[in-house]
Amino acid sequence: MKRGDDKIESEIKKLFNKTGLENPSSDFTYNVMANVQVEMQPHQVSCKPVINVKGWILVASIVALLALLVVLLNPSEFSWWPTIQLSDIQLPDLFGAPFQNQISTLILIFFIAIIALTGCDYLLYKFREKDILGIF
Amino acid sequence: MDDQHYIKMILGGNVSAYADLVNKYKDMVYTLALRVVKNPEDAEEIAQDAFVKAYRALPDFKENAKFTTWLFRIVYNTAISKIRSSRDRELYLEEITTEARSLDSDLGTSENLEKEEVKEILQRLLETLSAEDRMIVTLYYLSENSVEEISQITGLSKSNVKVKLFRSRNKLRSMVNISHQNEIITIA
Repeated sequence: MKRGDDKIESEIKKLFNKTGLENPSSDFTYNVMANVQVEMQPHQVSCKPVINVKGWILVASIVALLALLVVLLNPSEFSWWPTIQLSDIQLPDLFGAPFQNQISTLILIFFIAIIALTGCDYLLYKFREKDILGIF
Repeated sequence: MDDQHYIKMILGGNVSAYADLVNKYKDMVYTLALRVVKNPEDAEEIAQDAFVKAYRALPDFKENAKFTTWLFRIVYNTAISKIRSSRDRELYLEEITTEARSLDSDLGTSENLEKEEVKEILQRLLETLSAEDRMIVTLYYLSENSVEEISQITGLSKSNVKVKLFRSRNKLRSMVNISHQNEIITIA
């Protein structure tokens, strides 16, 4: 480096020193430490099923009740639908003549479908929770 | 107390020791960020992000490394990412060009430059450089990092850093000459 360049170099350096450093806001360190504190906290996984258990019970109850009413009040319209004989089980005669120791498979399908959906929802919830936590 | 001692304390579970490190380097980190983005709010955000990232990465910090070089590299990467992700990048460049044009007339007519004015002109002169070059000259002249350290911070080769410094120096030379002509900046 030439002598002239040395001089320029030195003068630029002094110029920079003369202008000095800039100062951030007074709460800069506080803000950084607040963010650091957040970093330190363990990550809490919030994982909820799309429809909670109470919701499923409510849906299942309404659907089952509607299905039961439809089938029991209009048995003739569902005569084409296969039934299961419950001759071995003595059912109480709560609904009068139409309910004669037999149960429509339609009702069974409703119940099974709702139970299956509830189970799927629960399993999905569990799998997702494990996945987020890194178990898999 | 040296940086390594602070780092050992932090890694040992004394989180509040990090506040001491932040206080020690916040001005330099903020200045570097401000040199790149110009906007004080953005610079503060970058500086805070950089410190949080540094805290997160502290367990990976090698004991034999220089803390400031490592920290400034984080600042540099954070600032450059910010600029790259900024949708107003074109506006940034346009603004710089405009300021560079107006600077010439300012330098030519100033007869009684005060310290604040010198500071302002230096800042505006720096803005005629690219964001990367501003960071490099600040690291070199203000933070007094070596070419080797700047190379580590920016990821550029040493020869590339030297070329960039040479070009920036030539631009800054005019500023120094003007200052001398006006005999305002007294250099002992």
